[in-house]
Amino acid sequence: MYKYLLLTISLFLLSTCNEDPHQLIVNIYNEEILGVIKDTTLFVIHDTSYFQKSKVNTQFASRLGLGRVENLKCRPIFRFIDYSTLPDSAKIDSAWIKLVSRGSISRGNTLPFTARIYPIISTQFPVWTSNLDSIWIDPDQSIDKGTILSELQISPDDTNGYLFTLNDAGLDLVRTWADSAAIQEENYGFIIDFEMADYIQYFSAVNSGADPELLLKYSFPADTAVYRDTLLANFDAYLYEGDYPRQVDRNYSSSLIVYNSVLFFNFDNFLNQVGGEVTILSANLELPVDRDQSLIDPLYDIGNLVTLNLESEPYETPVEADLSLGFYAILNTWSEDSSHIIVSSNDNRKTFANMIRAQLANQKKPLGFVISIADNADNKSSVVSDEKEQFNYLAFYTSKEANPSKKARLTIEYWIPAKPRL
Amino acid sequence: MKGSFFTIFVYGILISSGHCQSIFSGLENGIGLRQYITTTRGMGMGGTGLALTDSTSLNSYNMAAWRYINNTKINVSLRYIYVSTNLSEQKFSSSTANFGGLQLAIPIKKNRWILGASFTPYSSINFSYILKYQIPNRSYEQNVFYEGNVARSQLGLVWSPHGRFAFSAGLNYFFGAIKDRYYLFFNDPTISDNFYVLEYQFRGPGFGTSAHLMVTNQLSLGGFLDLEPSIEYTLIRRSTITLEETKTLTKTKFPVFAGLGSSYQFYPQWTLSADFAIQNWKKGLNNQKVADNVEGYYQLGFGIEHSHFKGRAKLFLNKFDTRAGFSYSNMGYLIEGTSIKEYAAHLGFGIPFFQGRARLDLAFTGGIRGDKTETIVEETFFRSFISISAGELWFQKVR
Repeated sequence: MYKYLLLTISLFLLSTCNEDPHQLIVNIYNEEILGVIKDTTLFVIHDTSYFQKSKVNTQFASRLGLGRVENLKCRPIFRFIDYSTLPDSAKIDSAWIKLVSRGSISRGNTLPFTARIYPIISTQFPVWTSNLDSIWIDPDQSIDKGTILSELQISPDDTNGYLFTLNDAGLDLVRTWADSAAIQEENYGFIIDFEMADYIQYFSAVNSGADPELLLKYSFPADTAVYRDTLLANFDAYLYEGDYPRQVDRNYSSSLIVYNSVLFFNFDNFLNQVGGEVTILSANLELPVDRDQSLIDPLYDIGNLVTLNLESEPYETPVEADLSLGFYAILNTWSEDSSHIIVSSNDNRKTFANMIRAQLANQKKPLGFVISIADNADNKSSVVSDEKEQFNYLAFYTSKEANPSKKARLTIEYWIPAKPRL
Repeated sequence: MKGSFFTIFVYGILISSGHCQSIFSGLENGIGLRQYITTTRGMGMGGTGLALTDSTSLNSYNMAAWRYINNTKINVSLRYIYVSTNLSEQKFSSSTANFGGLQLAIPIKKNRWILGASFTPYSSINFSYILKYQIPNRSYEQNVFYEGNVARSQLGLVWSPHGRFAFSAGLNYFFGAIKDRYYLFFNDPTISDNFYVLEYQFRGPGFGTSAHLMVTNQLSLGGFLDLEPSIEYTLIRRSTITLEETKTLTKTKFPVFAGLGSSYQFYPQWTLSADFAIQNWKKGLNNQKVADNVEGYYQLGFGIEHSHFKGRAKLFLNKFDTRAGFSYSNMGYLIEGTSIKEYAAHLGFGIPFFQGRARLDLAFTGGIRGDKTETIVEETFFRSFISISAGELWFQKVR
């Protein structure tokens, strides 16, 4: 009997345990013991930018560029290879190429320019469909400049789209490609070129939802009816060549012509001042931008500018960034006065804090970050949106800048954790 | 009966991780609230018991008083504690249960040599709380959990050279750990929640002795002395930067702990008792840290018992023991320079069974700790104790 009595009592005691914390309106404990949250700002102590040799794969780009900005020239190329919907006996009477406008980028002047379509003739690039990031050496040698297929005035005001009407030479070429009975000549596609341009006009690319189209009007012998067909481009890409101007006293992060900036911060001084344990709760990077020396795409703005942890030793080349999946913070928010870029105010600041923690854990001092437009970071392209369709460059003031408000700075919120009670 | 012992033991161990949720237990420079429990019988008599003669239950601190047993004894106790805290205009309460202690006595030579072991709570910390902060551009809350305990175990030998006197010497071993956990929670997606843990570990041996003297057939005196144990104190923390665990090992001591008690049987079934125990925590852990919020701990208690009639009882009150008492303690902590005091009333019962060879003891105490007008916070508490004391005729040289 006693056994069961004691069992019951024990179970009763267990069931009445209460471990919930109580909210205290008045704290009777020593505040110093509980730790404290503070924030501080660290200014960049050293910075640089470097060129990253890269080949850009435009296979998944949603835009194609045509035109020139600064010294960068872009020309789109297309291939229409699928004519299976066209009846064998059809006679192509007319053909057009339709392109849908998708923004433009300029230094301010956007005078209309003349665009011409030429056939690509060279066998220098046997199958450019399967090698979309190849380097075309002297591409003009691959273009039949003597055969103009179509000509159109390109104006940025024309936001609806552009319709290139193929001339007889163009029609002949399309008829050849479409004639399944004839001996097939290699279809290298065609290029849209220009002589003079002071801006880049973007067009929607394949698989963008507004794909380049080949519009055909055809008829049959002994049939007075007229038929129409629309073919979508099967392959596209764009050629780009040139560079953009850089100032000596600026650092750059850019796409297409890939430059990355590197920033260093001295965390040692901060840790010495705190004098003990510290944990980073949140961090923000503020990057003042020289907008006059920058080129920013109005459609995509600064896109996915990211900060990556520096992997290589400080001040050494080549510069290597930590490309661990997800270990980057996106900087794509302008400050209220649009003078500097900050880390997006969502999970990115936590991620950025984690990146700093990781560097501190590896005792990598000083802290180093690589500022890159996302696509430049190679395997980053799979985790942030593609930036291949844009040409941007951002000019940052350097650490030598006299005005502190123009220097890159790191603001961190940190917790000096609890001290021992005993 | 062996099955009952086992069951009680297992349940006792299972719930030994629970502690009293007292706001005072988390105060700086201390190892929690001191736990001083002689016996459940004594807890019914104002927390006394050092000098009580008892052939059934085993005293946690005065092993010399075990000389009255004549067969192998075991004593297991459990506690239930309810605390209501009144802090400024705020009130909250909590309740918990925990292990009260375990004693085992094995007579080697009847009424002369006894080997004993005792395991008893020494101090206990358990308090968790939430503080809400508002700083510029940021609001957050901090959840803090203080929890852990320190236990005192003793392996002792009792020698009774004379029918009226006994002496014990024992090797004490103190061990336990306290863990402080701090959590920060932010209602903001830009900032990470975080936590930090500090763990304090204690372990080390000491020497303890006790004595029991029957001055007359009615008057007894008893006392104990725990000399300063040599404690290895380890502070464990995980670096927030390198994430590596660091251990800081230092030597420290717990202060001498001593107690003196007396009991007087002024009528065949009536006994008075009075005890006093003291321990000076004024220097904290002697670890070079300024400890200006700790001071001496002491407890003073008075009690009275009406024992059951050792024969065929007709009156209801003669069938069991009835006890009452009062205690006054200085908790050893200061808030804003004012000592934390505790006042408690005690009530207890003892129900003998197996012809008086075993006993179930119950004790209830209720009281108040702190003074809201002087120390901002006060606690009212209710504690209940239950213990079973029983024995077997084994491991004993029968003469």
